[in-house]
Amino acid sequence: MTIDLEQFHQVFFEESVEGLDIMEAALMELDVDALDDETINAIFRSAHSIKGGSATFGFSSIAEFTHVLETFLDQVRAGQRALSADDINILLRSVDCMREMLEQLKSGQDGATELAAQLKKQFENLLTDQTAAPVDAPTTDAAQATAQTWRINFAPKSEIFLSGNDPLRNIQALADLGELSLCCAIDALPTLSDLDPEKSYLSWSMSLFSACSEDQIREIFEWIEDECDLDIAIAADDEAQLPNSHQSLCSGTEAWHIRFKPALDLLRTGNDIVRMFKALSDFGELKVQCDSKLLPELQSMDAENCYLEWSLTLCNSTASRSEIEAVFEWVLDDCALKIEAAQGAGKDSVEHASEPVNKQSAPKEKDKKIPATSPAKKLSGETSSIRVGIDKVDSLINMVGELVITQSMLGQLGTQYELDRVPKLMEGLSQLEQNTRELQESVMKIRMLPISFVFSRFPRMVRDLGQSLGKSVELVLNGESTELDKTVMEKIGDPLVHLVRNAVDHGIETPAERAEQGKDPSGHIELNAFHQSGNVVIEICDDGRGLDRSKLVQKAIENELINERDAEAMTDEQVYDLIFQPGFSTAKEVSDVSGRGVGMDVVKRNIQALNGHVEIQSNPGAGSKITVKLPLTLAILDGQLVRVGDNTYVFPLVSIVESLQCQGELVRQVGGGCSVFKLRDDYVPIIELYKAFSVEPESTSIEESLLVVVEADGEKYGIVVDELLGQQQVVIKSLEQNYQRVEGISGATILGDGTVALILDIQSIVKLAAERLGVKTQTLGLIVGNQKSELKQPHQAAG
Amino acid sequence: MAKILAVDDSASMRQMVSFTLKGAGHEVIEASDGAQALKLAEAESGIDLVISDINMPNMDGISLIKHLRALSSYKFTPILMLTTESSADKKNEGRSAGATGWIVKPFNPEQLLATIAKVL
Repeated sequence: MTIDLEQFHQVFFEESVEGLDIMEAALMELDVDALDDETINAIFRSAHSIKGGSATFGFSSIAEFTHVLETFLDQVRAGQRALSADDINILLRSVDCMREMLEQLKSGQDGATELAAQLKKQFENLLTDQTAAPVDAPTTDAAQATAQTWRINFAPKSEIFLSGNDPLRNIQALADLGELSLCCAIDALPTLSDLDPEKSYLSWSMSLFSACSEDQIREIFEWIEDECDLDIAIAADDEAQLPNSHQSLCSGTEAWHIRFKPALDLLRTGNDIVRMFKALSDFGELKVQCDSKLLPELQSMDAENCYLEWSLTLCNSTASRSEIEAVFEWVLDDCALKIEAAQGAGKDSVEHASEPVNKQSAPKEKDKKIPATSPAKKLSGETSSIRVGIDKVDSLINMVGELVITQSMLGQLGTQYELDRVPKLMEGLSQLEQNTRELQESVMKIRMLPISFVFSRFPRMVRDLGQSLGKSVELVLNGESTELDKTVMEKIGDPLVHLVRNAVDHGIETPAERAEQGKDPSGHIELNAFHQSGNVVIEICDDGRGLDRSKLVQKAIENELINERDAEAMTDEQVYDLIFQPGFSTAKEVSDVSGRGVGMDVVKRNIQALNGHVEIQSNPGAGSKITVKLPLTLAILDGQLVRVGDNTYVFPLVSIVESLQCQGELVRQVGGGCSVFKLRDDYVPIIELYKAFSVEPESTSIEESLLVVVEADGEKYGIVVDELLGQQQVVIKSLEQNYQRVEGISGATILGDGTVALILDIQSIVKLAAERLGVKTQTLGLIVGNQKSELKQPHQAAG
Repeated sequence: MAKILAVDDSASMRQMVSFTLKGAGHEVIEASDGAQALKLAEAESGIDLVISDINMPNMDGISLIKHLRALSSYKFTPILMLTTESSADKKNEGRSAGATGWIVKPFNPEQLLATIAKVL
């Protein structure tokens, strides 16, 4: 039976990534001075599951890596090792490393990264530092000098199995100490009918060539001291070799010589060699001789492997070859087996051909077992998936049920239509509308994820940043359960990272500076998320140094973004807004944390691309607050439909401040061909949509048109349209995917009558207009702002 | 064929075990931790074999085995530990708790089927 394990890979990757998240969070909350068992266990469990899965599914790179990690964690868990802050750092880096490895594996690579090799080495060093010394000693240098032969008689009591102990393990442990040869006495074996398989009837005499002490040997039998008879003595020279001459062991006629060499991983198949030998001894008198020459050095020994091989002699037996083979039936593929008729017994010799297994090379063994995945082959159909609570799916099914009922009701009305059933039809339609809306809401809800998906990376990030900058920063997260559309979530991650990074790097002062100002030496950053009128609001607050107006102004003048006259007229908000200009950075030195000021404009662009907006408030010396407002979803938009000529456009409703009829006397021309409109005490620049898109309007006269006042980047603009149509929710279709990117348009939608309407991108329309007027991009508002102040002067207003 | 309770907190492992066993014609009931498994074991009857992971949240495999052994209907049911635990201690702990045997991860579907054939 062949089963394609690849079908489980996706689940494995998903659960591993989740496991890593858990591990990271647990590591973050771990207090090295007071280790909490439950947290350590959670960390261990994650590593352990990843190891198990990766080994099973053939991802050797990550399996080997997690193996050392697990060993390390196991020691911590068992209280044999204390954790230092450095250890936590290494463990956190391991989490990163495994993430990277998983990414590689997902894309079909082998997942062996340099970082993995380096970290693995570090763990191995840590492990040998503490454990190798006492264990190594007996097998190496000092050992050989004083090695001697121990004579051990070991006779377990018959109930030994009931305690869960296995004499074979004790013998294997002995074999770990040195060179072991043994002879099994089966005198006590009863006849088959009297044999109780739960009892042990065997005893062993062994000779161990080793430099170990008697205590070390006794320690192996520690748990079963009361359950066995044990004699340990130093052997006289002449009896040392005793068990090796198996001829002398057999009291009767030899029938079969069996050479049994199990594969390294035989024990993993759940087979018990002792059990097999016991089955053999049912056939007659069995003499067992164990060969431990393949035992590797202790460091490279894997307790899961079987390094021993046996020579068995079956005496006084009439068993046939096939009977003997049947005993080894389950392990034939996992061993080299040679069954030979004893001399004079007149039977031929047969070798079982599955040759040797492996010459002490555990890694090779692993290679063999793992199905080779060609590196060239990319994993097909890598799709992302989301976990959805069963309640959400249930409510969806419920709604579909209602929809079906409504549909059948309407269907019935349709087949036997009579005029007096119009009210019934209207009722059905309104029900359909309700069903559709509810269904839409439920489907949207399925895409909603708690913002903790993004927030969860910050504790780690802030901690690492703080460490590398020598700052102490406390992070508080609020509103982690606030839900947000998955697409928005994916796109807001990077901008938020940037903002938080900036807060740590530029906002929070060093502990010394803070102390000087009488602040708490450790800085505070607070991330808040909450819903507010159909938007998700994310705030990043820090109690750092805040923005320095004079520095910003000076920098802006240097960069020729503004001139000194502009600067004086600018409000604080406008000055703070300057940090969102391209290439603007006040950091004196470029740091590897926040970079060289290419960030904030990108942050702002990304947020705007999500139909969101960002603003900054600051209080010099007391900190800054950055507020990011995002729509709940990108799939559906509340829109205001407008008409220009024959074309219908959609304004995002959130951007509209008001709509009004223009009055000619309130319009002024200012320099650069720009018109402004006097809106109460304010002047707003006028942008003609027909100019922006070069379409034929119904009228070019501003008085016959309507003015839609919108807000973009905190500035108001009046956009001229021919007519306001209805407001409705529109489903956003990507223009880029279906056609190409068009400046000024963020997407398209299909209206009820089947026509396509374009959705306006207000920011980029403003940009387009600014370019057309030849003013510097994104400073239209600013320039108009200055003109405004001039307009407010009496002589200008008069002219 | 046999009715098997498969317990593992890792969904991928559980799926693989379940898929393999079902492919061999067995009926499989899945649980993602010891507590859930115990509940299922109490509610279901006629379970022929339990295959359980050791390291799990809520209730680990060892406690599960102990609890199962305390139930009269599971006194003699074979219970295999499915584990990456390489230390003999854990296995002995499992054994004295009453485990019938163990399957050490990594294993492949063929190994799994071969092993359960010994107890079924």
